[in-house]
Amino acid sequence: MKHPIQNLALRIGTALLALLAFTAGGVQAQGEGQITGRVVDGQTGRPLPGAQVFIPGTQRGGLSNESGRYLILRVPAGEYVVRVQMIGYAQADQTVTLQGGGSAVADFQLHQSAISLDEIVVTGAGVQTEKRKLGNTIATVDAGNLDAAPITNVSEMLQGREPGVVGLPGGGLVGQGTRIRIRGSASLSQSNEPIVYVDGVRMDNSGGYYGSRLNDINPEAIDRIEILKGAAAATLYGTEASNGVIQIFTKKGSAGDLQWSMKLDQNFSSYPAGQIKPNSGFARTSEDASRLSQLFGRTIQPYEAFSVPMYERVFETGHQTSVSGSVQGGAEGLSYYLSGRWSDNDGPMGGEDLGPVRDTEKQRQATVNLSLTPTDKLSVNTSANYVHVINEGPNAGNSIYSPFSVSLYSKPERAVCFSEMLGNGECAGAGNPTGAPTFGTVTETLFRQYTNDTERFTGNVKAGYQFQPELRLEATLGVDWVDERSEGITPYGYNVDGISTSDTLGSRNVTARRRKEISVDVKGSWNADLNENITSSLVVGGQGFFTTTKSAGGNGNIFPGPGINVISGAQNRDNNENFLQVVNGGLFVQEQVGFRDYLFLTAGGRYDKNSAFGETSTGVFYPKVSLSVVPSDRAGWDSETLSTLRFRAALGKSGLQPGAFDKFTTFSSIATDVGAGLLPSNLGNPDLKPEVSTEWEFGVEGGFFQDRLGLTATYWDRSVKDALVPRQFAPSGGFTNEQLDNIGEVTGHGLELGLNAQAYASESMSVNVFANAAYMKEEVTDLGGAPPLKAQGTYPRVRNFVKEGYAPGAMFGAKLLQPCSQRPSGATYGCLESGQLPYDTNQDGIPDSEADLLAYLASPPSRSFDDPLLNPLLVDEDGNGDVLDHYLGKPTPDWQGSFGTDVTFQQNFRINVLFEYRLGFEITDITDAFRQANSGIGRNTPRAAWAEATLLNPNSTAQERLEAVKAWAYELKALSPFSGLNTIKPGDFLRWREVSLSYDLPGDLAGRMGASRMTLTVNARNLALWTKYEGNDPELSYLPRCTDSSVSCNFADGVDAYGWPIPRQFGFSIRAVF
Amino acid sequence: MLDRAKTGRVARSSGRRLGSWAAMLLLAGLLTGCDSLFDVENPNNIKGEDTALPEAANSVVNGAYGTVAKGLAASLGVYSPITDEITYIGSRDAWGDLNTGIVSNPQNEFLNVAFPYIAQGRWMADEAIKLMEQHQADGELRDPILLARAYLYGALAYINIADTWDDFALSDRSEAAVPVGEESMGGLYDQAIEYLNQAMSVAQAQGRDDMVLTMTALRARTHHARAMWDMLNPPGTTPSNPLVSSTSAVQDARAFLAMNGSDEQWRYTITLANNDMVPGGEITLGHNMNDRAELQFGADLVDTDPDDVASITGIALMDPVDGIPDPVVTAKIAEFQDAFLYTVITIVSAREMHLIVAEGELASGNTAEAVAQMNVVRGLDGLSDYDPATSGLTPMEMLVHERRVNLLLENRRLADMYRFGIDSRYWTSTSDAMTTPGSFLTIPQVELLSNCHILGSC
Repeated sequence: MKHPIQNLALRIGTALLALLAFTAGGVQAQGEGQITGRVVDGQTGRPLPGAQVFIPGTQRGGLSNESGRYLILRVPAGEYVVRVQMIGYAQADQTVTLQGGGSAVADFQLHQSAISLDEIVVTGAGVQTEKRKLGNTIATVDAGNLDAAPITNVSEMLQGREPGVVGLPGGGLVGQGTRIRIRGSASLSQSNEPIVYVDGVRMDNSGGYYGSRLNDINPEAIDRIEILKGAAAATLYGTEASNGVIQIFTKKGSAGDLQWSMKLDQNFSSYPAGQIKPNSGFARTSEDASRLSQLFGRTIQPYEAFSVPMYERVFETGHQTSVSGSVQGGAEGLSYYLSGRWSDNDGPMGGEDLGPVRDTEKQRQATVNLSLTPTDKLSVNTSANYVHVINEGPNAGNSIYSPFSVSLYSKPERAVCFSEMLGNGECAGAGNPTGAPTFGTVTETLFRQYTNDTERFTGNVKAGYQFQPELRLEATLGVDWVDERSEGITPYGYNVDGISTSDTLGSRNVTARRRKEISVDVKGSWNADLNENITSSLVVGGQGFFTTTKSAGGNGNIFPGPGINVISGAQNRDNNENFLQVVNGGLFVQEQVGFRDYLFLTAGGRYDKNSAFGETSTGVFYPKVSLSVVPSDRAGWDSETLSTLRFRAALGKSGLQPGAFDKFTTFSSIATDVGAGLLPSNLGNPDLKPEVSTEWEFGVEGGFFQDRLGLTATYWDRSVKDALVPRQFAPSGGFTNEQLDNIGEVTGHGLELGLNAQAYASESMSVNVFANAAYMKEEVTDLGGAPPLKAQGTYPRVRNFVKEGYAPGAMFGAKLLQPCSQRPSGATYGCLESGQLPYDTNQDGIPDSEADLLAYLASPPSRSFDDPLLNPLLVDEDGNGDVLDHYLGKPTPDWQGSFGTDVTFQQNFRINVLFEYRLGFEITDITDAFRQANSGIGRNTPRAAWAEATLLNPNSTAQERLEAVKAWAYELKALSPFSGLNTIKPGDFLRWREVSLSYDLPGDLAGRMGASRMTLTVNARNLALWTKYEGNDPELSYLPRCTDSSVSCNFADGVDAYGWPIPRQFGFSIRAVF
Repeated sequence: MLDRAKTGRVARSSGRRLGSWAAMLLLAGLLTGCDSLFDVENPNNIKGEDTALPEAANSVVNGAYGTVAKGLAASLGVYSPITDEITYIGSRDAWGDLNTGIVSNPQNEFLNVAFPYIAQGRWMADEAIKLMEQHQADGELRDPILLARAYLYGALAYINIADTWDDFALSDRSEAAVPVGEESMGGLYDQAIEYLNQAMSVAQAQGRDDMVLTMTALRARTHHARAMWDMLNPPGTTPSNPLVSSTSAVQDARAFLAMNGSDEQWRYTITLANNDMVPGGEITLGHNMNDRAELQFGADLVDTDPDDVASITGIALMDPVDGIPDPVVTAKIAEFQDAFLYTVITIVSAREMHLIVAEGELASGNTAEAVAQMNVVRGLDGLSDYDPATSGLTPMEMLVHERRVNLLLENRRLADMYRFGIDSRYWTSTSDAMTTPGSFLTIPQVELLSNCHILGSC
């Protein structure tokens, strides 16, 4: 029996073949000819694939292929304007005259343009529209410009390209996804991920530690990505769109001879260990010192701190091989594009000699795109994407079973061999050579294995019919089908060192998830010139999204023996099943009126209904209006200095719906040993409705010096009323889950700046530079009386809160008593007079003087830093008894952006450089908080080991101990009940994100190898990091890619909690076109 | 300025535009008319109102049992680490705070996890009682024992709350309630006794002697706990006479022993279902001691491997009479470890009844009877009789020992430590347990910030 995805693929393939057979019968009519030519870069002569070449006002046109060649068939005899458009280049027109049955040639040399208002976009307007007509921001990422960049997935394509679009990785394991945020967070309780479409079909964009559904799409098959940044632009996408929209367009074929291309990538990756502090400790007795000297093969003295970088044993050099290829071509009425990619990535997690776990990602991706034009009026496009991805990895994140965590927990003085010591820090057999804590050794963690195996099909059929030149109907039917299976395995008897006590007889969990989303989109557009001055464009349409998610899984532990690895073989078993159905439907209408082709006013709206509110609910209406004025397009504008000028403004609403059944009071089931029972689940709220985001933006774009310098600026302002707040009602009322309530308000505003310039251009060299910056400020203005929300629930070390008056995810925690000189006048809270320190060892209620402390430290305290009298004194500034409510920072940067350059020299060489930065934000460094303070799984940074060794050394003087105690208060003490203290740190960074050097082989050399074009590239990713941050990596977040609506998924940002650092990657590739 | 091709033509008829609008309206009508499209299935839950159906009675009472069981497991998870029964060896320092005797920090993460579990159990039990009483009044209660069971689970919840927390609120759904108040928490025992009386009445009427036996033992244990609570409140001092003298407790205990006959190993327990892989959340002792290794039995009870403190190498606590590793502790730890995640929680036992009688007799001066009762218990494990004259231990010291070992991990030890003036080796000098004996767990942040009566925002 075939798998459902295979069945679906088979059916669609059959349909495509039938369609192909139908259209292949079309022949060029008598009196029709063809227009052909080549599109190249005017500066370098490089062929430009993917340029749109068309005859304005007709359906005729196509794309240039990998050699820059294009072909327009079935053109009746006559005189035509042929137009070429390409992102980053100025539009070009040529007039050609075509004789009946003949062929005309029009070659184009495009010139780079720092600003291109004529670029055609699809997203946001419902139909294809030039950017200059839209009052809202639409960003376009052109994949063609990234063919040399060190990019292996969609997340990396988005990273650092556009101001206001941020990637938030949870860690650097291979395949670990990145959360995407556009202009921050529009919701306090619903997913803040943008919605994603592939060729017009809504797609599942979930993810976790092992695999990101966003990255399923073959990056080599992507033509471009359009990004709508907020409600003002995304109104027509209705409910769910207030976080923006990402629309991915896959490549399409171009008419002409069959052309195929191949690309081979070899990448090598490694974790940058420079920021990681080595594991440090000290021997407490001479016997310990002797044993440790023998174990580590070096002389270790009692109370003398020593360091061993234990994490090195879980690092290695990773390797990825990727091969991709494509075939494209076309004939009359038909063009096709087929591509495939095979990628095996063995990431930089090491320890493969210790345990069976690997960090790998295997991707098999295939894409088919078919464009048919059976008649002049009918166009049909269909695309299909099939993906099979297998991720494997260790336990990850803030887990006591992660190899990385355990290596960082390790205290070298605790190292012990249960077999022969080899003298190099290793044991001949069983042992705990790193000094891991009670949860297990590094070796044992390398037996816990997680996998995610996903098959996916995304396909669509899109038909367009041009009833009349001004009237067009389009319909799209698509499906996104995900079949995902996740497994976690702890083998029987994996505790080979005899340390771990957890699941030593094995455990296994399995989750199977099948998600199907059907997208239906029907729309009509009516374009007309109402008179000589006024044009009109009307779009009317409707959309429906039908999502069904079925998941089932189970857990089991305690197997009778090794070799059994099925849940049914376990003594204890648990199972679960869930069914979720969501229906969202909307109707939209938009009218755009143009005045003399330089002023465009757009108004429209969308009416939405969603199954979350039940069949009897009324819908929601989201309106929008925008204005675009291009004074430089007015007759008489002839400034060469300011060659292009546009002002734009937009106002629009969008929404976010609550979960499918959040409105209702529900009880769920509970298994007990007396039978099945019920327990409270959802408290219910009959008044629940979507939250509505209102956003306006104003922007200006200027092109200077014949558009060789482009500057853009956009100011935006967003307000979310009726924001859904997950309100915690008193748990003593029995319903302990939070209940959504429309009681919040959150605001945000920002400024986005962009610069693009052709800094230098000559025949042998051109230099383009670009820079962008985005400023953002967000504030939770109202929680409607609900208590503050906290990310990661009761887990005290994550300090991100949603609190009135602060940015979402703001960090709160403990502060030491500060000098009285810094206390505001009138304040009465505790402070330190000159000479006082934040301790009260004599318990007289007054902070100690140095003399007090020296007296106390005359001998080593028996409980080391766990002595309660060495708990530093905290301030309670507002006097409410809560010492953990001091604002300590926020995870969202004030400024973020990127800059870089593209340099072309000697025609064949290109260098691309991208830097990314974030400024004005903080990180909660949980990793080092443990490593500084916790005696069980930390206190093992060099500074902490020194401080404790000094404190406990009987030979230390009181003065030396005083220095250690000062360091304890001001640098090291952290964690409960001092959460936040010495933990929340500035995170500003500048990362050299990408660099690439590519070389186009001379044509004759490429030809000798049978290719028409061949490019060699060497590149690197995450090459260097400059940062204020003292922890492992300033880009880490608490969670991996997640798209749920939890506070944690939304706001546990800027949290470094044992995430694997973001790896460096070096690679080279060969790309050939045949 | 760029030259732009003009391709459209002036609209010749406004009718087409009107047609487009008409089409839009038609589509809108279809969307609003197709309401059934938006009626989706939810097989994951049942609607709240359906719990009131007589057909749901059994599931509601089972739910009360299940939530109370999780609540008891959760309470035990945060109570035991305060005592010398448990020590902290792991990574999550909020366990360490409890272990050092800090019980008044409302931000302690584990209090914030445990409180909702027992709160939900309490509410669900009261809801079950309300619904069963309603069904009975309507003549629709098919099995009257369901009502008795609901009362029983209600009693278990109230007893546990009074044993464990310094204060509590008895809210209902979204309606927050004024906290009971520290000075009134003893009243929860009275409520439990009332529930037990009601349950006993139903059980007797239905001829369920087994349930009557259980209720009797529970009532004895509740009277004893109530007397202990009176002794320890208001907190801050160690009572000069720590012995409980409760006639009601002794009467019920004796009544139980008379009914129970020779089944001296009798105990009423609950077991967390083994089809729930994380029973009672992440804070159960089974998870944190047998699996995750955050907690370990205290050093007074066990010896551990210095290279691997999660590994027990022997029993440290000796029987004071025979000088051997205490067999009760040995057996209880073995049972606890064997159960892995699904530990058995003993609610009350025949052993405890003997000890309640022993304590009552000791308080009233009948040392011989007290010793006899304790020796019955000792005999169950083959231990020699205790003789005050030869052992070097006072009867009260012996009672303290017997309660320590026989009620191990049964949510009793902290009250005993307070009343008998026993300090844990893990308590720090500035901790609540040391400075204010009699302190139990405070209402945590999760309730403090969501209960408008506490916030003063109602």
